[in-house]
Amino acid sequence: MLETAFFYMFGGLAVLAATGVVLARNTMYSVMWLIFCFFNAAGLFFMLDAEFLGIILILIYVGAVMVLFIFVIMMLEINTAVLREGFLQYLPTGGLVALVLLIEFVAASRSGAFSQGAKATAEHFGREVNNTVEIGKLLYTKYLLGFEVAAVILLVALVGAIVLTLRARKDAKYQNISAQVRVRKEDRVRKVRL
Amino acid sequence: MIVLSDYLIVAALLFSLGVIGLFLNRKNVITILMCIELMLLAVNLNLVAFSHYLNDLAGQVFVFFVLTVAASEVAVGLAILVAFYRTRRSIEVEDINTLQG
Amino acid sequence: MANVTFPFPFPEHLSALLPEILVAVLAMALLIVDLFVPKERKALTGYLSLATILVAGVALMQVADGTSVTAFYGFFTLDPFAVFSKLLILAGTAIAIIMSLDYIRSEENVGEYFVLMLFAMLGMMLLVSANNFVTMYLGIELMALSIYVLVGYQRDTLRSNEAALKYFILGSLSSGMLLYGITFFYGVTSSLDFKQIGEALAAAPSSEHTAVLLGLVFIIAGLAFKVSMAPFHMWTPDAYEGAPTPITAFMSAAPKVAGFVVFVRIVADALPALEHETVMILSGMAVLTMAVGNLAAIAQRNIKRMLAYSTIGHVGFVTLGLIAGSGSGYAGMLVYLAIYLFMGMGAFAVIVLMRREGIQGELLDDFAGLAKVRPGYALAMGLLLFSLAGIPFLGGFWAKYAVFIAAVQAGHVYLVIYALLFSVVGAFYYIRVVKYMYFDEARVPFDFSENRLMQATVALTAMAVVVLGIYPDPLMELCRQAVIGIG
Repeated sequence: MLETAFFYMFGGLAVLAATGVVLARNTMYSVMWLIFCFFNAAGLFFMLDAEFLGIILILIYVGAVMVLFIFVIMMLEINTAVLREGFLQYLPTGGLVALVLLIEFVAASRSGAFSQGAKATAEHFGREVNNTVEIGKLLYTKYLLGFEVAAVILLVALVGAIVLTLRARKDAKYQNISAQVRVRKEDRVRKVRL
Repeated sequence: MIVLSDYLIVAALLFSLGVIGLFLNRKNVITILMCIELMLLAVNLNLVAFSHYLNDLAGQVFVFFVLTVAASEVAVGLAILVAFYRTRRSIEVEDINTLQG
Repeated sequence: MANVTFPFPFPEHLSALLPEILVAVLAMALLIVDLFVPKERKALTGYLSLATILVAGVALMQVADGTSVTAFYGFFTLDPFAVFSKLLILAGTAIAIIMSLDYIRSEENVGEYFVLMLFAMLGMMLLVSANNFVTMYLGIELMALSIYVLVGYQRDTLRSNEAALKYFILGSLSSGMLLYGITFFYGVTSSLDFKQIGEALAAAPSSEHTAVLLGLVFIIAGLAFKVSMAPFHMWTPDAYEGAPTPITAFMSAAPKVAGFVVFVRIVADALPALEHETVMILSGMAVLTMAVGNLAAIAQRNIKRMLAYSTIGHVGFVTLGLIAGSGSGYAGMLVYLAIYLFMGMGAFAVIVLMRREGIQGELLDDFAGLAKVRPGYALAMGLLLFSLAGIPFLGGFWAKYAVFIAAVQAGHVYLVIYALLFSVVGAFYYIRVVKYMYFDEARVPFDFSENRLMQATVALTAMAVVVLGIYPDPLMELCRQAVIGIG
């Protein structure tokens, strides 16, 4: 009973927050809604005995990725009014496409074994199990190849992001410390006889 | 009693909202990126739900990879956006019409 | 829960990954070496990355023994199919790097450009060895992320920025769709391995049919996007036009090989139970792809854009091999992809050569009268274009022949007739470029800078097209050998 109540709370709020992301006038509000959505999704993850992923979702997504979004929004000067143009114009097409997809998704999600029978009603089997340890065991053994490739992907993202945005500023002045240290008295002071 | 399909329907709603957001916010690249994040969240919710009900951890490990890749994608995407903003002085997608035709 | 006992065994057959490990390690080393290369001598990094590819190629030939090996706890396959396509990918990357040596010189951060190309190549090498959705997804993303950055590499050029942005948005959207499809397959079969999924789908109860179909449609859509099949092709012309030309050449060849190879693995291993639905969806898309590619190409004045649509057209022809299925269809696809790699990249190399003082060399008008000034360039381009058009006894003819025959054998006669019709339409716009080169007066000045390496590349690809046209049997035999055991 309590589980049902929590499911509807987290699920409902996640969907509500997602609607907020889509409809918010101000991009910054969208980010806030998305953060809220991630918190609720993390709640659903907890209910599904995926504590590790729930924590990761909050730490990495809210703590790093969304902060990156906020950083970029604040860095760029964004004219919200212009960005909203054509919002209603696409509502019929977008709504129709999304509705058709939604019906298909729901049909697929409710199909057969997913809504009844053994597959649909698992007990909470993970009570005695430490989810983080279990994932760690798999990640560093069977899934080692994926883990290594994921590391390379992060490296590529790092290099790519720097390459695209780093600029050597021509007007910046740097302090050359070794030159300063190596300076001799004769370079700077000249005795003049008046 | 909450069954598997209840979680899947929440994920389906999130995915559809992501899709509709793509249509409505065609001009705002940042919101588009957020809608794609919503879609990936739906994917992750699906995987975690299946993983739980199938009693199989592979789904959760896959979610871990999806999260990693999604974070990298955001980093690259925002870098591309910043580079675009520097030359274009705007982030409107529909402005992107030099390449039409 | 996780059935893992410790001590866990060391990964078996680790040597099968030797080429990938070498590429990863050397690319990272190159990232550091590049810091010490002075700015005006960055071509050195390019030569070093060519050396890396050579090392990987040698390593690949060493570990390939004609058998099928599964390595790394079953997450990596090395079979003749993977070896052959990896060789194609290595060749494509090497050609693209040679094209870049001169082209990219004026940009900033040149060293990272070559390293990113190596990482994209690494992603494709993993992709063609993927036998499960985990390796496949990570391979696709490694490839795609590197290519997004490469497309936007001319960061002060609006065109390049826009292309990268569009490609990125649509690319990550397609990844989302692909993943959503994968989740349903996982939910029904509780596996991420292609072969196990195939077995489980065959046994799946009919009550799960909706979920399976949704998964199928989304997975095919996501993959179709990566190989630019209509109706998921919209990003192609923009990305191809805006990207630096060597990257355009790279994108038109190597990722297509990787994408189609993994497509074959999925269709052959995971979807045999859904063969009817798969063939139906793919046939519809092939019909659309051939029409869009070949018709839209006619209207283009920009030759990079024209070749982009032409790539879409060729993707449509390759899809026929996928539809035909079985050994001969897959072998035909490999023949097509191998020959296309040479003729497509050769044509883009000529465009790079056409870049001259103040002129991008991308418009049809820039080619007018080329034959009088540079008969060599015009001859090479002419041969490559005739081959792309599928004129008999050039390489492109045999490529089409291989897939068309396979499709006829599989009983798709109407599709082949339709494809023949569109290859005739396609021939028109290729031959139009030849007309510009040979029969029109020059409209813009020709003052080329010499670039021996590029000229050699163009000559080599043109020669490859001619030689393969006269003597295609060894390649065809090689491809037939490569697909034994697939499907």
